[in-house]
This record gives sequence, structure tokens and C-alpha cells, in this order.
Amino acid sequence: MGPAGKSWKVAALLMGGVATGTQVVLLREALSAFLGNELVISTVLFSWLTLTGTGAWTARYWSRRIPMRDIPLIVLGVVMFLPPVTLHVLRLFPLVCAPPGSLLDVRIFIGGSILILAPFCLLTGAFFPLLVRAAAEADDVRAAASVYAWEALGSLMGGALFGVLLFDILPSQDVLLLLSGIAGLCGLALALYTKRWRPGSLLGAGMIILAAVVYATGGERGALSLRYPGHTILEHTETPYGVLDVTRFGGQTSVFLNNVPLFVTDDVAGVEEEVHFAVVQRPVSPRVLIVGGNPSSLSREVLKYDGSDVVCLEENSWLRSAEMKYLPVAPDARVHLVQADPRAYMRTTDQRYHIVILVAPDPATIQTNRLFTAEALACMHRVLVPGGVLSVSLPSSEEYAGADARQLRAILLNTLKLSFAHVVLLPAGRDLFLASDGEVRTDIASAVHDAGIPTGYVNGDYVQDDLLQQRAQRMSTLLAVPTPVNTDGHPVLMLAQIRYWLRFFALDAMLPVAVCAGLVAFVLLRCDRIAIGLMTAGSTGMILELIVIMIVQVAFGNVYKMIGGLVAICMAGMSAGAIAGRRMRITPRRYAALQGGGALAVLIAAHMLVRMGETPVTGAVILAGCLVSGSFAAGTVFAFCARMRSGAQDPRVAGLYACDLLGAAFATLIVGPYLLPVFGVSSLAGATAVMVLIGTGISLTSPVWLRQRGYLEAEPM
Amino acid sequence: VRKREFLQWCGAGVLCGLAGAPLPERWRANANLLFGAGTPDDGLWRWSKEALFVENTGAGIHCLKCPNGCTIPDGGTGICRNRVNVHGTLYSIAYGNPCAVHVDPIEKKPLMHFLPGTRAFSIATAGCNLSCLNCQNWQISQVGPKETDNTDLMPKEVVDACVKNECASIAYTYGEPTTFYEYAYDTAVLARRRGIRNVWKSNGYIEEGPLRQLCGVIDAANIDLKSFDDSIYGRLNAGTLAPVLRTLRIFHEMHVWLEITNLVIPGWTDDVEMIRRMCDWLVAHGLDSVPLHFTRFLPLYKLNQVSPTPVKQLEDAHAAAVNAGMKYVYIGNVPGHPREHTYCHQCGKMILERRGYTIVTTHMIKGHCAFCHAAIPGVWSPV
Repeated sequence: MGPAGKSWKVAALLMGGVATGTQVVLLREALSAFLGNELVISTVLFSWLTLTGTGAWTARYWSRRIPMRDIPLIVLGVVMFLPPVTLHVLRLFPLVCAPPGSLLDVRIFIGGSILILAPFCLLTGAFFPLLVRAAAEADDVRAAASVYAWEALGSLMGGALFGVLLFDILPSQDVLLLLSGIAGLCGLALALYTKRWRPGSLLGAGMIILAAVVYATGGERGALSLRYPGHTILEHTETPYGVLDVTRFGGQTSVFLNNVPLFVTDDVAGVEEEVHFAVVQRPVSPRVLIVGGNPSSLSREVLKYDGSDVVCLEENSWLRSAEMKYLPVAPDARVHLVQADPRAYMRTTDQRYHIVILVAPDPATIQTNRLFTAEALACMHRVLVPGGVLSVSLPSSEEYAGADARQLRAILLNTLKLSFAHVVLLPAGRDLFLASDGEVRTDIASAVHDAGIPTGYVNGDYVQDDLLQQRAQRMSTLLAVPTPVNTDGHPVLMLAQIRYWLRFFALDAMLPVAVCAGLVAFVLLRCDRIAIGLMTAGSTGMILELIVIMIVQVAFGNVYKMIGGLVAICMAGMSAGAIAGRRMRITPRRYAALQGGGALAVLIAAHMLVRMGETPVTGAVILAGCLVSGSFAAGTVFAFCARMRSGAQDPRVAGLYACDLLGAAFATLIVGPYLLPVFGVSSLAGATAVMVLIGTGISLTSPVWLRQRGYLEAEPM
Repeated sequence: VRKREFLQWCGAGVLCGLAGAPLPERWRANANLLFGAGTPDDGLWRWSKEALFVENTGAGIHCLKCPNGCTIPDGGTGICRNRVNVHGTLYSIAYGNPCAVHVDPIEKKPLMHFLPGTRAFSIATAGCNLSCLNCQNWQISQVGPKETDNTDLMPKEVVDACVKNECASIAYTYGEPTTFYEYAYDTAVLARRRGIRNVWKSNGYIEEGPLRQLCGVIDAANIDLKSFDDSIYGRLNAGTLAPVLRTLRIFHEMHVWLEITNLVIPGWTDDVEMIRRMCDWLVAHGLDSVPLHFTRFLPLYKLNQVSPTPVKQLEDAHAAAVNAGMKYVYIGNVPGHPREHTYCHQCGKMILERRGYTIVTTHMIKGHCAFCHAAIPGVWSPV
């Protein structure tokens, strides 16, 4: 076999790398474009994996029509062209399909995201059997496992390179263009080396056209001018927390994160409510900690209290830089700006405060929910002086709170009550929860008056105490219901927030679960027992990855940058597993041990949630170990199943590849937004172990296993 | 056992378990989180009342209440989610069961020239005949009465509660009162008898017949004129402009005290040229003395990717309205703005100094400017 015969390895490597790099980049774009919450993220990933699996599944029927020698070049051509095009379309889609400035309907979002991702995902999925064929014809006796291993190796490199190393340096579009360039150049080199002039010139022409299109459309600037018509764009930065934009319009400076306004200048009512409802509770020389929000306007209000001192904490360094540049805090020795993860800061600081004000986005993701959990609120309680006050808020339900809004508030109220003796909810411009072990005043206007604080909005002229108390009393009655408590391992508030968000579209939260259940039933009825075992392994691998990401998020804060690394670790294990599985002797006991190993990794990882706070470094090492061993098991199981199915060189193993991906897809859709919040991480891990037990049991009743060793020893695998 | 049978048995077992097993408290709370608490649906209920303004057609009952003109088949519900056809009779299912019951300052509606400094007993039921992307009360307006948590409050009890809370008026507000017309109308009739004023806070999307009947019992109205462009009305609110303009004319003609609210949304309704055309139309139709409120938009509901309205845009809109000849123009949702006050249209002096819902100083004598004695239109005293 000459160098040309190994070109499938280059193609598989690049396909894995580009697919993972693109996935990391497009997930962030989807977050920004569709105002992502955990369900949105899961839906995009579900679509991705399902489409890729479908591509692999359907390719079985037509892959033989493609000339073998063209396969690597076709793969490289598609890998070059589609990612930047997909990114462009993804950016323009919500601008075209939703009324200006409004949320895209979730049904259009789901349909649209499937359509946009389909070309890339279906083709990358379809390339798997193509490459298996190419590898088989290049005399690789265990072609499927080999392609799987090379692809996983490419994913490892893609995750590490684009998710970790290039992330801070290049924006999304440039990352994808770089990927395209690499794929294109490799394709050109391959074409020249193998003297395939026609496809080579097509690739070269494609590269030129792509560059011309990107240049002509102005790239992301074009989408920006559509998104903010009439605004002067002062700053546009892609950060790990999302896309940050600062604009100026009508004399007003606005800061947007993922297209949603975070804060603007001249928001007198919002700023005063956020500050004075809380600070007026302890008006004498208050030491105030403000987490998030606009430090210039918030600190200005706090400084109206004699002897006050304020620390403004922000974890997003990009946002802090933009604030300093466009909305600077007036120099004052009493104002301290700190950039740190809020939970880490509150866990370690020796400072104590009279007031903590949490100005945080809604708890729609694990990332944002981590500031609303019982553990986080206990941290906030820790940094308060005895009788200090914590202020947390949710969007307003001043006139009426529907069932989902009430549930959301009741969960937060009950979670706050775990740490604080008194909690009141004051419905105003936002619903403000004031929690303390001491007394909490609800006659806010009178309190402001008593403290002699000059205000433009929070005073008796705008805030009428008796009416505010009436509404608070009514709300308090409505919220006196038992609910689960929101914890790190049991993020119920996140699911309640998702349910509330789905109400915007009059959609039932169970719809995705029903769709998922239907698909699972369909696939289970269509595939054989070996494939069921492989689906179990795919699901276990994905559940493990999700649990690890969740724990890392809870422990360390934002993980976008780490996700590339975590994916790389996972892919390293999977690649090693697939390579090992190519040659390892297949026995039922070994197969069961590998499946059990995956489940054990999930159980250990879930257990680490409570340990991370005490020993974060050791915990991180153990989590990495779980990830490697779990993904190693998944990779080996795939290689085993591929060998057992129908001989080493048969590209119909694509069906198995599809089942592996579909197993992962189902886990993606229902674990993060549903099973984790409802059952909690420990029960989820236990359920995973049971699922593995059942899946492995079903798999071991397959005729292949029942024929036992005679069959296995008779055939080369 | 074959795989298919095995799976069928598993599925059946899970379903039976879910249906029959009594869940522990904690599990039940979790199940509510997943499935919701469920909503009752028993057809007609005690809060159903036969609807006014209907005609029978072969295809169902044609509701004549609003310009949507729904023809509702047997068992169907109108666009407003508030009217159901049960065996050939149309019912309003929100009679006497408001989901929101509050006391508000009258200035919150906003009404600046109607009993300033008083309070309004405010009620709303679920449902609305429009679907605004920026709806502030979407949890009330975009659901039906059976999906909300309601209070049993028949018309007489509303009036009693209003008296008990020392309110000068009853406001039909938050959601869209046209959708609970029968309830509002009966309540207004009773309120009138007890000397209580009635306030209609609405999108103005109502047909002429019901509106003219309503004018007999309503004392003041604040109508949202959401834009002056039919296409924007369609895309932003799922409605049309002409019926709202007709409503403004009829209220004025029927001598119901009228004020108009125009929410200025960046990129949607902030075109000064459009605002000028709107004001020209108001002036041309004799509505120049009707107070016009330009209010600041805040990102809400589905329209959450638009920044709040810059104050300068509101001031530009104000200037355009004044130049067009509007006499009383206010800026709302901007605390402390000088255009909260009332200025005499004749001498230009401040006659009511306001801070929020408080009247700080008054330079008016019996509805006239204390400086130039010009009559200031409005309802200034409860008597």
C-alpha cells in the first residue's frame, strides 16, 4: 500500500478535527443566535448527532456508487466548504426568520437548525462508511475500528486546537476559515500527489469562491448591521460567555450579551430598584457586594449612603473591560472592582458584607443556575455579617404570575429559606427576593425616606408602600407550596425556567421528551441486540461527558474554554479504545466489563460533585480519569461491535456507527434539561448503571454472543 | 419472548405504573416540574355567561365583538381564548373570575387628566384579541381563563371591593377588556349606580356596536395606539390600524374622557415621520386636546433583543407631536422627566407638578389654569 492508499487516514483525521472544531464554534453561535438555554444547547447537539447518525445510516445504500479513489478528496472538499457557509447561514437565519429584535419561535428554531446543520452533518456522517470502504480497499482488515480511531484522533486535535488554543486568538468565523484552509490545502496536496487534476482544480476553485464570498458579504459585520439597525457599533467581541456588543443609539449606550440588552445608560428605575430595595435595609455605613450588573450606575446609587463601601464583582473579564471603556466608574476610593468567579470569591474571601446584590441572568442554563443553588446561596450567606441581606431577582410578575412563573419563584423562595430565616418577595420592575436572618422591611419608600437618601424613583412618589405590600402579600400566599430545592446536583430551577420560557410559545415542556421517546422506540424496534448494546454505550459516554461538564461548571464557573479540552480528553480515550479494540480478543466477560466500566465511571464522576468543593485539583484529576476510562470503554465497545457485526471490512457497520451516535443524541436531549433537574445527578448516575445493565443484558442474548466462542474463534475479528 | 413483545410489555408496565401509582410528595413535586400541574377543562363552568353581539351562521357563531370577527364552530374557541361555542350558543367563560385584582394609582394606566391622585380598583381576566410581541402582561393575555389562577369575584363583589379599598374608579385593564366585555359591562353598570367611575384601558380593537353600547357606562379610556402603520400593526400586534382609529373617534364623539398611549419601540415605532403623521391625523380629527403619552419601551416577552427606548427618541417624538398641534403630550416610564408634568396649552406654564403618582403642586382652579384661566380639558373632580 503506497502513500496514496493512506489518504483515507488524512481525510478521517481532518473530518474528525473539523467536525469537532465546527461543533464547538457552532454551538456557541447557536447559543447567541437563539438565546440559548440548556434546552436550546441540547436540541442543537441532538440535531447534530442525529443528523450525523442518519447520514451514516443512509450512506449504506448509496456509498458504493462513489468511485473509491475520489472519496478522500470529496471528504476534504466538503469539510473545507461547508463549515463557514453553515456559520454564515446560522447567523443570518434568525435575522431573516424572526421579526426584528424578537425571539425566534422555538418551532422555527428547531426546524431551521435541523435544515442548516443537515448538509454538513449528513455528509460528515455519510463519510464514515465511505472512509471505511476506502480503508477496507486499502487492505485495513479492521477498517471500521480504524476509521473510528482516526476520526476520534482528529476530534481530539480539533477540540484541543480550536477549543483551547485558538479560542482566545480568533473569532468564530476565522476559526472556521482556518479549518477550511487546512482542509483545502490538504485536499490540494493530495490531488497533486495522486495526480487527480480535475478534483484538485475544483477544490482550488472552491477555495477561491469561498474567500470571495466571505470578503464580498462583509462576514459578521453584515449580520451586525442587520441586527442593530441605526446603532453605532462601539464593540463586538466573541467571549466565552457569548457575543458581547456595545452600541450607541439615540445618545444611549447599550451593552448586549448574546443579543440581549444587559444594561443601558439612563435606566433610573431599574438601577434604583436593584440597589435601594436591598441597601435601605441596612442603611448605616453599609458594605455592599454587587455581583454582576453595571458597576458605574449601581455603585453610584450605593455611594448615596454615608460611610458606604462597595465591591463590584464580575466574572466576565471581557464585559468588565467593555464597562471600563464605555461606562467607566467614577474614581472613588470606596468603590472596588474585582474580577473573579463569584462562587470562588465568596468561598475564599475573608470580607464580610451587610448587603449582597446578585444581578444575574435568568437561571436557564447550568452555568447561570449555579448562582441560584442552595450551595451558592449558602456561600452568599457566609459572606454576610449576621443579619445581612441578600437580594436576588427574577423578571417581573407584578400584575400576575402564571403557574410556571409561580413555580419558578416558589423554588427560589424555598431554596433561599434553607439559608435564611426571613425571605420576602417584592414584585416591582423585577421580582426582588430579599433574604436575611434579621428583619426585612417591606415599606421601602418609607425606609428610603427615613434614611434620607435622595432618589429619583424609589420613593413614595413612585413606589407606594401599601400597594407594594398588598402585592407582596398576595404573592407570598400563592408561593406557599412545597417544591423541590434547587441544588448543584439537582438543578430544578433551571427546568422551571425552561418551562416558563416554553410558555412564550405555548409549548409543553414534555414535547422534546415525547419526540425523543418516539425516536428511541423506533430505533429500538429497527436495530438488533448488538446495536442496542452499542446505543447503551453511546448514551453512557454522553451522560458521562454531560455530568463531567456540569460538575466542572459548578466548580469552576464558565467552561466554554474547557469544553474543547474536555472533548479532547474524551476523544483521546475513545481513540485509544477503538485502537485497542481492533486487536483485543472479544469475550462476553470483557464486553460486559467494558460496559460496566463506563457505568462505573459515571457513578464515580457523579460522586465527585460533592467532593469538588473540598479538593478541586484532585477532583479534576479524578474526573479526567473517569472521562478517559469511560470514553475508552465506549471506543472499545464500538470496535468490538463493529468486528462482531458482519466481518471487519463491511461498510454496513455504518448502522452501528449511527446507533452509537443516536444513543448519544437521545442522552443529550433529555439528560441536561430534564433528567438531571428532575432526578438529580446521583439518581441519574444510578439510572445510567441500570440502563447499562439492561442494555448489556439484551446485547448478550444476541445470537452472536450465544454462538459463543466457537464463532468468535472461527472468524478473524 | 420476542424483542417487540418485550418492549411492548415494558412500555405498558411503565404507563400503568405512572397512571396508578401514588407518588411520594417529593416525586409529585418533581412530576409537577416536568408535567405541570394541569389545567381543568370541563366545558362550561360557573363563570360562563352567554355572550353579547353574536350572529348564527351556517359555519358556526360569528362573534361581532372585535374586528377579528371569529366564526366559531361548535366546540371551538375564539382567537381571544375567552369565547366558546357550546351547542350553538356562544359563551364568555371569564365572567366573574378575574385573574388579576389590584389597586393602582390612576396615573399608572396612564390617565393624567382623570381624577389625578386617586386610585383605581383594577381587574383583568385572561385572554386578548391581539398577540403583541412585547406584551407586558403575556401571562394574562396569551392564555385562556381556564389556564389562569382566578378569583371568584362577581360584578357586585367588584364594586364592594372597590368601595372597601376607597378607590374612585374601577379599571378594566392589564389584559384586554374587550374579551371580558360582558363582565366589564355589567360591573360598570353597577358601579355607576354607586357613584364609581369606570375606566377602560384597552388596545381599542373593538367593533362599533359594542363600543357604542359601552360608551354609555364608561367614564374614561386610555387606548394604546401602537403605531400608525398597518404593516407594523400586523407584524408587531397581529392586528390592524383602522379599527383602533375608529375607536378613538367614537370615544371622543361619545364624550368619554380619552387619553392615548403610544409605546415608542426602537426599530419598530420610533420613526418620527410616522409619529408626525399620527399626530396630524389626531389633530385633523379634533383629538388635539386628547393627552398623548409617549412611553418608554423595556425589553419584554418575545421582543427581548431590543434595547430600551433612548430618552432622546421620546423627546423627539414629543417635539413632533407638539409641532403637529397636540396640546397635552407626556413622556412616560422615565422617572423624573419634566414631561411628566401638565402644562397649560395656552400659556405654557406648569399647572400640575407631578412626581410619579404624586401631585406636588397645583396651579389649577376648578379645571382652569391659575395663570391664564384657560379651561384645561379633563375630569378633575369625582363629583
